Amino acid sequence: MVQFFSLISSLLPIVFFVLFCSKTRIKGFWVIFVYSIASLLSDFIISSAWGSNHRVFLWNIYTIIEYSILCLFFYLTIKLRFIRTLIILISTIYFILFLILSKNIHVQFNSILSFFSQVIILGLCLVYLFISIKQIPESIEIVNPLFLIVIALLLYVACTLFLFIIANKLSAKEMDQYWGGITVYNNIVTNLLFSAAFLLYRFKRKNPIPENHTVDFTSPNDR
Amino acid sequence: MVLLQALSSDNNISMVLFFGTIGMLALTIGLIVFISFHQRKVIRYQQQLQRMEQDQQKTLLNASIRLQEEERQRIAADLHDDAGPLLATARLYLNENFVNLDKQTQLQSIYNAKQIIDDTIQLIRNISHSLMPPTLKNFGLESAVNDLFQKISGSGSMNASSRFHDYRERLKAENELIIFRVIQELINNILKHSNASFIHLTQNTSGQRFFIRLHHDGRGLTQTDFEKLGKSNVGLGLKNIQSRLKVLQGKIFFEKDMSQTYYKVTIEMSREDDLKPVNESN
Repeated sequence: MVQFFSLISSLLPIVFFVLFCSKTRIKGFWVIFVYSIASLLSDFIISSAWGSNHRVFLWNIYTIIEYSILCLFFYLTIKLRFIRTLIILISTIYFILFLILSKNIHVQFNSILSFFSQVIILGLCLVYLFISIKQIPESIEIVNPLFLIVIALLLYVACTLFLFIIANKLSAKEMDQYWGGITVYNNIVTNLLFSAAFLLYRFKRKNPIPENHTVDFTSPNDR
Repeated sequence: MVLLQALSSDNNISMVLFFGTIGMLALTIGLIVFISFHQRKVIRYQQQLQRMEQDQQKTLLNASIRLQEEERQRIAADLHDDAGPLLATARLYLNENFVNLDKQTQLQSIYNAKQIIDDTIQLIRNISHSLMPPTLKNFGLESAVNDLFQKISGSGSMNASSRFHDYRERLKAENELIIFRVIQELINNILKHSNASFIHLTQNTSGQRFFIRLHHDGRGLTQTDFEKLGKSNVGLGLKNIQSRLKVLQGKIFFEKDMSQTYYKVTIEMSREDDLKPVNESN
């Protein structure tokens, strides 16, 4: 039942994006759309017969794809040059680390890489929130689509961080149990928040809040 | 459910996973709640600021309308009480009976009517000059201020002097008029309320900032007094100064001199886009 809900929830952001945001110019939304497709595809592949046999390899590959997509999302969303440079630098180091540590990519889940990717994404979520609080109070509105996406990512990363840290120490059975459990619930919450963000974008576009509430006292001749 | 299973087992790893995940989740939810509260607080603060700004704008607008009305009433009174009777008297000299008068009386009547019309012309010129000083229009702020200060000094009640240090290029005509009106209003206040024996005005620039500073030795205002008066219903002239300076995006500071002997009023405004060559302003 939960698996069914998880599948439906994975489809929701994709459907909502196509319905409501397909004409958007916000590049971050497109990245999240791609992320939702990648996530759904990975779920399908891992649950397939071939995927079951190469589960660890697929997890490792998905970790790097997920990291790349989420980094791209923050790169496009955070406009500060310093942070963008930092993202490029850290990602370069991360990819080098991946190449060095990818010897056992087929047999062992790479906790170190996953941990690093989760910590970097967590850090970027916090940077986004910090910058938003400091710069534009409107952007941290609870009803802001980008804010909801970042909150979804924050929850996802926070809940899976410990699982990724100890994934190496878990037996195959435990891994199935916890991975399946935590990530399924987490996926549902994340996908629901993504869908809410896309829906909210549509709602906001239809009912834009006027930016200027001041009254123009000048007569038409003076303007 | 999964986490409950993890808790029931004695496995240390499961415990770490359970408490770690719960801890991270709690931290994240705490962070979201904090941001949400912080954001509400910021929005409330911004709304309060916006309300205050709107109130201030309303006060300034009311002051400006009241001042405009007072000015209109003054001009109407000048025209009605002075120009009206003068022209009526001139008309009396040139009435229908004029042609029946003897030559001598006719000449006398024409002379009297001419005198009265000359007086009326002078009166209307004075009214016009009070609306737009010709010295300011033709020769600029420095000359207009010097002219004003000479008149004050000439009255003998006060020693008034001015010095422009950095006024090589004229400002835009409308901006010069605004500054002149602000200076006039300040001088009026000093004459009316301060009981000062001298006023000294200096002009300076620093980078793109244009400064006018007034010193006097009477009873003056401090910035706190000025802000209090700006919020109250009295102090129409000060509100008018504020609204005029708002047009120039300028600032005004009232303070007591370091020596505690003089009061200083500093007007500061940006010269960006305000500077205009002399030939353009004429």
